[in-house]
Amino acid sequence: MMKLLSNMDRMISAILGAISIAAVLWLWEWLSHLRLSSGVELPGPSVVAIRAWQLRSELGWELLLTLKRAFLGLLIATLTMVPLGLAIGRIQGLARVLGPIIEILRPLPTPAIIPFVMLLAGVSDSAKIAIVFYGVMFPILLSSISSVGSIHPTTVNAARSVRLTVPERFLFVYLPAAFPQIAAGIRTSIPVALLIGVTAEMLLSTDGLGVFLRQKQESFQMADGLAGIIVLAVCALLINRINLWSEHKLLFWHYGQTEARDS
Amino acid sequence: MTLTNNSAWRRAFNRGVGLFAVALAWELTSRSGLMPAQFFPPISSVFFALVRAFNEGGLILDMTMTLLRTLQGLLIATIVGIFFAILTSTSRIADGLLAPIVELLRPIPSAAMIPIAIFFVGIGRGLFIFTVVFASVWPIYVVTANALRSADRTLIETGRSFGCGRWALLVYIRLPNAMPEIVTGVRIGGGMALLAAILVEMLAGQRGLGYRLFETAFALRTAEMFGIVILCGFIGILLNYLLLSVSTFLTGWQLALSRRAELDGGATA
Repeated sequence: MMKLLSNMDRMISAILGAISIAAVLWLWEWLSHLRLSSGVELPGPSVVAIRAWQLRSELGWELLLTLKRAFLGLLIATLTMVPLGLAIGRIQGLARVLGPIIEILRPLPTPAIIPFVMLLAGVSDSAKIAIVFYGVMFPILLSSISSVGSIHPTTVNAARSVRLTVPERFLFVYLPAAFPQIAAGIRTSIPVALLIGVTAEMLLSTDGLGVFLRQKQESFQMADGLAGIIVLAVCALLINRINLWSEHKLLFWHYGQTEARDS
Repeated sequence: MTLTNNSAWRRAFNRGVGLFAVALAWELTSRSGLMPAQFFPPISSVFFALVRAFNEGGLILDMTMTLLRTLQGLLIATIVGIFFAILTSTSRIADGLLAPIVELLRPIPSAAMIPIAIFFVGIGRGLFIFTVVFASVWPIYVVTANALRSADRTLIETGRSFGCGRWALLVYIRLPNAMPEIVTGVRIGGGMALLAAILVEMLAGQRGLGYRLFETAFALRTAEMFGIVILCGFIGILLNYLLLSVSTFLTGWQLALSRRAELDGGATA
């Protein structure tokens, strides 16, 4: 009975979703046929779709460049900040030394470091990757520091009493125990990485989707710009879905536990 | 009481020591020639450049502009976000209709919207409002909608038994109950709003700290540029402090309640 109800629910929300998307597309098309008094012409969804198809190779290439930069920045931040976070969470002295530095740097809005990186690294690929790295390092670092606090003390004591060495403890006990929360930190960082990637491209790049959007705006090619945004939105949505799915697969033990507890 | 006072002093002391250590490390790195001094000036010269910039005037105005643009957008985003969260958490149909649109719009980086927004609203106040709202409304909306939906069953049933209707439940139970989460959402949104405001200033000029940053960087006035970077961090701290004091004002009663519950629990146990 419960199952039937939830299936009904899902069907209703799918129908409502389809209706709403159709309504938005229709409204958009209708608006595009009105000539606005200010002389601004809004290209309708049909025009945008045609442009997106015509530009598919260019769009795909620029998107790939942007994704590569966002991904590399995120990857480097994960590989460096998760171990650092675990270490800060477990080792008191380290927390005391690095804590103030983190506290000073954290409120700095990411775009503020762009000019500095520009002076040091120019407009190269590594400059943009460095900016993405800076943009996502604090969420990842902070979530891994706080994840250590959520490890049950019994777990820590058990690891000690079976005489695991310190590296073993970090690798086989602390990291898996803290992983669900770390994964959540990484998940929230994905859209940030994309945002910072596009931003960095707009401000100091020669290619990538950020530059594509800016050029289209400067040459008043509205339809192309909208096509770029829609491609970016769909891509970001897909990444989010894939990430959630793989997280569930990877952390099946964690989600299995919480679901068992909830039901 | 003395204990908490003591730890507050100690934290302030630690922070001061940390700040001093960072400044010293900065000064030494720059003076040692490890980094090119032209691109990485010592903090003492950054300080003097900042003082000079303040004396020239205009810097205070730029700071207030950035902060006001952020707060203005954040205020609108808070109202819009909470309004839609109430709508989708009370009406199933509204939720079904809005969910796909939210899911499509939410992941779009706000920077990507700037060129399109320039097209429609031109460069000016509207551009700032649009971009800042677009950047900060999502965390507020998502967090609030979740919090409104996940109100405790017992609370709702209690309200019902007191004869609360839908709106009374919302106003007297669901909203106050969700307040801590809403406040957290607004604080997350605040960070995004500041980022967006600085970004628009960088891309579209129109004064403000973001504009100053690029101006000084391109003119290779690096010492002054670093000063502005520090001011950006300062604005970030200020914004966080502002939002934090609003949040303790709004949710302090809840904290006090839970603390008293803990004390009572301890007494009976």
